[in-house]
Amino acid sequence: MKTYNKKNFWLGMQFIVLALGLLILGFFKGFKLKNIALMILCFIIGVSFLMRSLSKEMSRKDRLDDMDERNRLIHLKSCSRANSITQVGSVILMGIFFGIGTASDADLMKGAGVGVAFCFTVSLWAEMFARLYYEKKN
Amino acid sequence: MKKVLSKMTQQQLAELVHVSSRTIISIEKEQYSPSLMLAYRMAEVFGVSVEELCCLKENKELEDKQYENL
Repeated sequence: MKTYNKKNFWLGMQFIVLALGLLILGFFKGFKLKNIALMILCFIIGVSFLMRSLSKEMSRKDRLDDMDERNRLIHLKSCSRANSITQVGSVILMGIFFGIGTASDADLMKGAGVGVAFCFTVSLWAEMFARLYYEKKN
Repeated sequence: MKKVLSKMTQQQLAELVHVSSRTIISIEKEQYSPSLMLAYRMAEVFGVSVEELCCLKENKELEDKQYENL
Protein backbone atom coordinates (compact mmCIF):
# COMPACT_ATOMS: atom_id res chain seq x y z
CA MET A 1 0.00 0.00 0.00
CA LYS A 2 1.74 3.12 -1.24
CA THR A 3 1.10 6.67 -0.09
CA TYR A 4 0.97 9.01 -3.06
CA ASN A 5 0.18 12.21 -1.15
CA LYS A 6 1.84 12.46 2.25
CA LYS A 7 0.12 15.74 3.14
CA ASN A 8 -3.34 14.23 2.69
CA PHE A 9 -2.26 11.05 4.46
CA TRP A 10 -1.19 12.89 7.61
CA LEU A 11 -4.21 15.17 7.44
CA GLY A 12 -6.43 12.09 7.30
CA MET A 13 -4.58 10.54 10.22
CA GLN A 14 -5.02 13.71 12.27
CA PHE A 15 -8.78 13.71 11.70
CA ILE A 16 -9.01 10.03 12.61
CA VAL A 17 -6.97 10.60 15.78
CA LEU A 18 -9.31 13.48 16.59
CA ALA A 19 -12.31 11.20 16.09
CA LEU A 20 -10.74 8.55 18.33
CA GLY A 21 -9.97 11.21 20.93
CA LEU A 22 -13.61 12.28 20.93
CA LEU A 23 -14.64 8.64 21.26
CA ILE A 24 -12.38 8.11 24.29
CA LEU A 25 -13.60 11.39 25.77
CA GLY A 26 -17.13 10.14 25.33
CA PHE A 27 -16.40 7.00 27.33
CA PHE A 28 -15.05 9.05 30.22
CA LYS A 29 -17.43 12.01 30.21
CA GLY A 30 -20.48 10.59 28.50
CA PHE A 31 -21.71 10.92 24.93
CA LYS A 32 -23.41 14.12 23.85
CA LEU A 33 -25.19 14.52 20.51
CA LYS A 34 -22.89 17.38 19.44
CA ASN A 35 -19.76 15.34 20.20
CA ILE A 36 -21.11 12.26 18.42
CA ALA A 37 -21.87 14.33 15.32
CA LEU A 38 -18.40 15.90 15.45
CA MET A 39 -16.79 12.49 15.92
CA ILE A 40 -18.60 11.02 12.92
CA LEU A 41 -17.73 14.06 10.79
CA CYS A 42 -14.04 13.87 11.74
CA PHE A 43 -14.00 10.16 10.99
CA ILE A 44 -15.58 10.61 7.56
CA ILE A 45 -13.22 13.46 6.66
CA GLY A 46 -10.21 11.49 7.91
CA VAL A 47 -11.13 8.38 5.96
CA SER A 48 -11.76 10.39 2.77
CA PHE A 49 -8.36 12.09 3.05
CA LEU A 50 -6.70 8.71 3.66
CA MET A 51 -8.41 7.17 0.65
CA ARG A 52 -7.37 10.12 -1.52
CA SER A 53 -3.76 9.80 -0.37
CA LEU A 54 -3.66 6.07 -1.19
CA SER A 55 -5.20 6.48 -4.66
CA LYS A 56 -2.76 7.35 -7.47
CA GLU A 57 -5.36 9.08 -9.64
CA MET A 58 -6.93 11.09 -6.81
CA SER A 59 -3.50 12.15 -5.51
CA ARG A 60 -2.54 13.30 -8.98
CA LYS A 61 -5.72 15.40 -9.19
CA ASP A 62 -5.06 16.86 -5.72
CA ARG A 63 -1.50 17.80 -6.66
CA LEU A 64 -2.76 19.34 -9.89
CA ASP A 65 -5.29 21.38 -7.90
CA ASP A 66 -2.52 22.53 -5.53
CA MET A 67 -0.34 23.64 -8.45
CA ASP A 68 -3.20 25.23 -10.42
CA GLU A 69 -2.43 28.94 -10.88
CA ARG A 70 -6.02 30.10 -10.48
CA ASN A 71 -6.39 28.17 -7.21
CA ARG A 72 -3.14 29.70 -5.95
CA LEU A 73 -4.35 33.20 -6.86
CA ILE A 74 -7.67 32.60 -5.09
CA HIS A 75 -5.81 31.29 -2.04
CA LEU A 76 -3.60 34.40 -1.96
CA LYS A 77 -6.52 36.78 -2.45
CA SER A 78 -8.66 35.10 0.20
CA CYS A 79 -5.79 35.03 2.76
CA SER A 80 -5.12 38.71 2.10
CA ARG A 81 -8.79 39.64 2.43
CA ALA A 82 -9.16 37.51 5.57
CA ASN A 83 -6.16 39.28 7.09
CA SER A 84 -7.64 42.71 6.29
CA ILE A 85 -11.03 41.76 7.74
CA THR A 86 -9.35 40.34 10.86
CA GLN A 87 -7.38 43.56 11.36
CA VAL A 88 -10.49 45.73 11.01
CA GLY A 89 -12.38 43.40 13.35
CA SER A 90 -9.55 43.58 15.89
CA VAL A 91 -9.63 47.38 15.90
CA ILE A 92 -13.40 47.35 16.45
CA LEU A 93 -13.11 44.76 19.23
CA MET A 94 -10.31 46.73 20.88
CA GLY A 95 -12.50 49.81 20.90
CA ILE A 96 -15.42 47.86 22.37
CA PHE A 97 -13.35 46.15 25.08
CA PHE A 98 -11.51 49.30 26.14
CA GLY A 99 -14.73 51.32 26.00
CA ILE A 100 -16.66 48.86 28.18
CA GLY A 101 -13.63 48.36 30.46
CA THR A 102 -13.19 52.08 31.00
CA ALA A 103 -16.90 52.78 31.42
CA SER A 104 -17.51 50.00 33.93
CA ASP A 105 -13.97 49.94 35.34
CA ALA A 106 -13.73 46.22 34.56
CA ASP A 107 -10.12 45.05 34.44
CA LEU A 108 -11.13 41.84 32.66
CA MET A 109 -12.46 43.82 29.70
CA LYS A 110 -9.37 45.99 29.62
CA GLY A 111 -7.24 42.83 29.71
CA ALA A 112 -9.19 41.37 26.80
CA GLY A 113 -8.65 44.63 24.91
CA VAL A 114 -4.91 44.39 25.56
CA GLY A 115 -4.90 40.82 24.25
CA VAL A 116 -6.68 41.85 21.06
CA ALA A 117 -4.35 44.85 20.70
CA PHE A 118 -1.35 42.51 20.98
CA CYS A 119 -2.71 40.25 18.23
CA PHE A 120 -3.41 43.29 16.05
CA THR A 121 0.13 44.59 16.54
CA VAL A 122 1.61 41.19 15.69
CA SER A 123 -0.43 41.06 12.48
CA LEU A 124 0.76 44.56 11.51
CA TRP A 125 4.41 43.67 12.11
CA ALA A 126 4.01 40.38 10.26
CA GLU A 127 2.50 42.19 7.29
CA MET A 128 5.29 44.77 7.28
CA PHE A 129 8.08 42.19 7.41
CA ALA A 130 6.40 40.02 4.80
CA ARG A 131 6.09 43.06 2.51
CA LEU A 132 9.79 43.92 3.01
CA TYR A 133 10.76 40.33 2.30
CA TYR A 134 8.81 40.10 -0.94
CA GLU A 135 9.89 43.59 -2.05
CA LYS A 136 13.49 42.45 -1.73
CA LYS A 137 12.86 39.05 -3.31
CA ASN A 138 10.97 40.36 -6.31
CA MET B 1 -11.03 32.60 -27.83
CA LYS B 2 -14.39 30.93 -27.36
CA LYS B 3 -14.32 29.72 -30.96
CA VAL B 4 -10.87 28.26 -30.47
CA LEU B 5 -11.85 26.50 -27.25
CA SER B 6 -14.90 24.85 -28.80
CA LYS B 7 -12.68 22.38 -30.66
CA MET B 8 -12.26 20.18 -27.60
CA THR B 9 -13.84 19.69 -24.21
CA GLN B 10 -12.78 21.81 -21.29
CA GLN B 11 -11.62 18.74 -19.39
CA GLN B 12 -9.45 17.57 -22.29
CA LEU B 13 -7.85 20.99 -22.62
CA ALA B 14 -7.32 21.21 -18.85
CA GLU B 15 -5.46 17.89 -18.83
CA LEU B 16 -3.29 18.90 -21.77
CA VAL B 17 -2.17 22.17 -20.18
CA HIS B 18 -1.96 20.81 -16.59
CA VAL B 19 -4.61 22.96 -14.93
CA SER B 20 -8.02 22.24 -13.45
CA SER B 21 -11.13 22.37 -15.61
CA ARG B 22 -12.40 25.17 -13.37
CA THR B 23 -9.51 27.33 -14.56
CA ILE B 24 -10.38 26.67 -18.21
CA ILE B 25 -14.02 27.55 -17.48
CA SER B 26 -12.93 30.83 -15.86
CA ILE B 27 -10.67 31.66 -18.80
CA GLU B 28 -13.48 30.98 -21.25
CA LYS B 29 -15.85 33.21 -19.28
CA GLU B 30 -13.13 35.91 -19.24
CA GLN B 31 -13.20 35.89 -15.44
CA TYR B 32 -9.53 34.93 -15.24
CA SER B 33 -6.52 35.89 -17.36
CA PRO B 34 -4.04 33.05 -17.81
CA SER B 35 -0.37 33.48 -17.02
CA LEU B 36 2.07 33.81 -19.92
CA MET B 37 3.17 30.20 -19.59
CA LEU B 38 -0.40 28.89 -19.50
CA ALA B 39 -1.34 31.04 -22.50
CA TYR B 40 1.71 29.68 -24.33
CA ARG B 41 0.76 26.08 -23.48
CA MET B 42 -2.77 26.64 -24.74
CA ALA B 43 -1.51 28.32 -27.90
CA GLU B 44 0.73 25.29 -28.54
CA VAL B 45 -2.21 22.91 -28.12
CA PHE B 46 -4.26 24.79 -30.70
CA GLY B 47 -1.35 25.49 -33.02
CA VAL B 48 -1.80 29.25 -32.91
CA SER B 49 0.27 32.10 -31.54
CA VAL B 50 -0.36 33.58 -28.10
CA GLU B 51 -1.36 36.85 -29.79
CA GLU B 52 -4.05 35.09 -31.83
CA LEU B 53 -5.28 33.00 -28.90
CA CYS B 54 -5.69 35.93 -26.52
CA CYS B 55 -6.71 38.48 -29.18
CA LEU B 56 -3.93 40.70 -27.90
CA LYS B 57 -4.06 43.11 -30.84
CA GLU B 58 -7.80 43.80 -30.41
CA ASN B 59 -7.51 44.09 -26.62
CA LYS B 60 -4.56 46.46 -26.97
CA GLU B 61 -6.57 48.70 -29.29
CA LEU B 62 -9.44 48.75 -26.77
CA GLU B 63 -7.03 49.63 -23.95
CA ASP B 64 -5.38 52.33 -26.03
CA LYS B 65 -8.79 53.97 -26.50
CA GLN B 66 -9.31 53.93 -22.73
CA TYR B 67 -5.91 55.58 -22.16
CA GLU B 68 -6.76 58.24 -24.74
CA ASN B 69 -9.91 59.12 -22.78
CA LEU B 70 -8.03 59.57 -19.46
